[in-house]
Order: sequence, then C-alpha cells, then structure tokens
Amino acid sequence: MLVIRRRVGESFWIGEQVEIEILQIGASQVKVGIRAPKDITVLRTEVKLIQEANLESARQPSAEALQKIVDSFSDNPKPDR
Amino acid sequence: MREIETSRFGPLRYEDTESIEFPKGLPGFESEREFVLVERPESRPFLFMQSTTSPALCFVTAPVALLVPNYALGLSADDMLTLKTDESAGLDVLAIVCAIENQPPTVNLLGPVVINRRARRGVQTIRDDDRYSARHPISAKDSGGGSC
Repeated sequence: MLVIRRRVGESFWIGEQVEIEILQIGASQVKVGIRAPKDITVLRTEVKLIQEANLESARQPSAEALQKIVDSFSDNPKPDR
Repeated sequence: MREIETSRFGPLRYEDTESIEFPKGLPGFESEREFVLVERPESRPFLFMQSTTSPALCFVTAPVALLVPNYALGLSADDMLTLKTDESAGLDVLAIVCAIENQPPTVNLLGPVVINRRARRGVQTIRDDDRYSARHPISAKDSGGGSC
C-alpha cells in the first residue's frame, strides 16, 4: 500500500480527475474531501461490504436449502413430517 | 388488499397497511423502495422481505436478537428520521441471510435492516465501526453464547 503524509488543507490526486483533500483531523477521525467526476463512485467500505452482501443475498436459496438453514437453526429438531 | 406475483410465494396478498417504505432503498438496490414482511410457519423464526415491485427479489432475514444476544444497535440521527421515531425500542431489527449453495450460510450484522412497523418505514443501517461482520456465520450453537 502506498502511504503518504499530509497535513490539514493539503491534498493529493489519484489519476487526473480525483483529488483528495484532508479537511480536518480529530482524535479518532479524519474528515476527507473528495473532488471527482460524477461517474466515479465513492463508497465508504462499510457500504460496499453491505452492497456486496445484499447482492449475494438476493440470489434466493431454494426451498430445500432454506429449510436446511431453518432446521439447523431451531434448537428443537422438528418431528418427521 | 393488494396482490402481487412473486417468485417465491406465487401470488402474494397483503393489506395496504402492511407494506414498508424504504425511502433510500438498500445498498445495491437503491430503487427498491417498498417491501412486505412475510412470515411462514415452516420458516420460523426467519422472515421474508419481499419487494412489492420486483417479483424475484425476496430477502431471507432473521431477527438479530436471536442471532446475537445484546446486539448493540447503532442508529444514526438520520436513520431515526427515516424511521420516524426517536427511540430504538419497538423496532424490528433483522439481519439479511446470505445462503449460497455449498457455502455455509451467513447473516449480515454490519448492516441490519431496521423497521418501524407503526410508521411503516424501514432502513438498512450502516454501522461505522467494525464490531460486527457483514458475513457472520449462522448456526444454532452460535446463539448460545460467546462473543464475536
């Protein structure tokens, strides 16, 4: 990973179109400003992780696969049907 | 009463008052703004979150309280506004289940779906800490104890 040191008010570029500026530094958080074209998606990592999980979760399990999960989850196994 | 066609349930009927509005959609599904919660006795305690506009979109969810006792829900002021509430009591907190064939099922505890049934509003909250995983393994033994 490339590591660079910046002070508040300083910035750097990624490619020709994306500028990242350090706006504020707190005790446990850094406020970062991003100047980028509209077609560049900027996502917080958490949002990206959730987005990926959502997209995968949207592929529905089959009824059998789901039943397996339900059965494994319930503490008391169901009697045979 | 409305009736929609769904992939999982076939024709699904629900009362107008049962639909839940997600003003922001969900990450990855920003245009999905309305869901209904479907409960089936054979799938308890799991709940289905069926889109009212996309027949094929139906998330399987589980109440977070059953997966992780004492789950610390972190609602932002913005989330509270979306949910039209000023307290976190009385809200449904659900984790979306990810079940891909030949892989152990997981639940998303990083981004739980929070629903205020009274106001019929929902939001997928996004935690800003790394206390919980988006792919938390799900199993019966897990609910018994131990930290994650």
